[in-house]
Amino acid sequence: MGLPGLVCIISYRFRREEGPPSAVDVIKQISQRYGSACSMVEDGIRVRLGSSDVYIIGIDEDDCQIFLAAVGSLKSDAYQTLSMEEQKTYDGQIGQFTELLPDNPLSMFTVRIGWAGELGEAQDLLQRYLNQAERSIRSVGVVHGCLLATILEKEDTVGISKPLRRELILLPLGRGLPEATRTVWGLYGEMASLASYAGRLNDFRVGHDLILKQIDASEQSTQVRINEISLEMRKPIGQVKPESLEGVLREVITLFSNLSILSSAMRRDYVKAGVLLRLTKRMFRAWNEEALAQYSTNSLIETGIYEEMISPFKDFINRVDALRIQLNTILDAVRTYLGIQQQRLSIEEQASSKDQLIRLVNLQEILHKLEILIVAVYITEMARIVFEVLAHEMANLLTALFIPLALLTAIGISRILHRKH
Amino acid sequence: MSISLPGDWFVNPQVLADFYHRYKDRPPDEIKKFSYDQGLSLSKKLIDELGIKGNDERAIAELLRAVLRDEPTAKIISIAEGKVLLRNSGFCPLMTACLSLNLPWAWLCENLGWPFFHGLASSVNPKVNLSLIKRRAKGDPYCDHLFEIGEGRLILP
Repeated sequence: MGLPGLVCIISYRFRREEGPPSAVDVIKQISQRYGSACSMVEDGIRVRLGSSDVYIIGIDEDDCQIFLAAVGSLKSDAYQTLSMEEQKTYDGQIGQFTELLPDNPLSMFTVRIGWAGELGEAQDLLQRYLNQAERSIRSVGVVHGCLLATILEKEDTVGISKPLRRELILLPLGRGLPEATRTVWGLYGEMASLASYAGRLNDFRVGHDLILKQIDASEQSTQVRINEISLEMRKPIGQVKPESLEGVLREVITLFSNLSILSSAMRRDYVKAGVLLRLTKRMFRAWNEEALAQYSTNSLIETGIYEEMISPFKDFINRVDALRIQLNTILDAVRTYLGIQQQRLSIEEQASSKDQLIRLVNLQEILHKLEILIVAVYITEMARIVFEVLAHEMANLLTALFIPLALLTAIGISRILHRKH
Repeated sequence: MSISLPGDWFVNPQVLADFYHRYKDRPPDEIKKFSYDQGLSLSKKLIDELGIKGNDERAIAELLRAVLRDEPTAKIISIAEGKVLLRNSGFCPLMTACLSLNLPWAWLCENLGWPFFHGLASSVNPKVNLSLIKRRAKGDPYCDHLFEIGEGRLILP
């Protein structure tokens, strides 16, 4: 095929294990529909539609499936004029094929092509088309010797809607048609990769949008609860009951576990998205796009958009981590509280043991005294028996006189007995 | 094969993932009924344990507080005649599971979360309606669950 007038690049999420039809299968289904008007070419199909040719190829990558449909004149030496009329015809023709592709694409890049001898002519051609289409330029630059312009979306939905749409105008400058055709086809290959990377990046962002939107309300609500717990923890130690600490611990662990899962999942996706961002940046660096007049280059604007797509991931991680740090502080406070309470209990226990010991010593002393009295009573009784035998009439008097001696003897016996202890 | 789900599903993302992958192709009404019954059975146990009496809004609120005692950001916002408004504004455990294991958030809420809560409240009063006034899975900043004595329906926006 020569220089096409319109190219449509559409990418899809593709996971072989989920069993979607392969790109080859999809193209075969399309070819069956067009019968004899369709012919197989090396990596796709070619369909003849009136005076136009439509060329369709499909590629399966690891995570992405890409289809490229190009429409142009049958003549290989045809120059594209970028007229509104011509572009409308191509839109209709290519639309017949894109309708047959699967639903729910990741990205749709439409590239309109014209041919210009030199830069001034290209700028005039571009301006004429924009005036006719009532559109304006978002960014423009020169890539591989071609003027590449991105048209501003009618609605400002860049980066937050699916599929990611781009409408571009490509005008090869100052070269012969065969060389221009080769350059343009080379750029399509790069744009197909870009459609895949950018589509997947956008899908990441769209897929996480609801969760990212939650951060404000969820963070606020969690922060309020953390503040309440912190206030509770500021009470004097004696006023914080162990049951209340247990409740705090349970709550904090629930929150902490939720936040840890969220943070690690978001970090994982941020890293994945970061890989795609690096690939797009590498491609833009290879473009080495030259700026034109007062316009921003395509690569500068696109890189900015893709960086903005993934920056909320990083913000989310930072905000969740900030909450986790606060929860860690609370956990430390709970631990400190428990430590202090344990220390207090231990001091109280020690004081209580000392009292008990004093009471035991006192008791032992009383027992000793009782022991002496009992022994003295026994000695006195034995002495009475002896006195009654020896001096019956004076037994009572002698017994009474013997009592101090019995006491002294009992004290002596007690000391001898307790000396060993 | 009957539907089964461990009781700790609301705190265990892996349980939710296993459940989704096993039953995602089953009719939604079957899963909703299962989840409703699970809520019903849990609340019957709690009502006995806590000695909750009556079938009015206060009894419903008491039960919800008991179920959500470990979910610090779920709060009962108002109790009016025949109505209890429960708001969950924190980081939703279902949302966390969906993000970490790439599960469809809306599917889990519609088939598992809300029928479970409806079952919980229905144990107190079988005529209670549950309306989801706000839903985080649709972009609202929080989920508002309105329990209202009515015809015993689960009403999604």
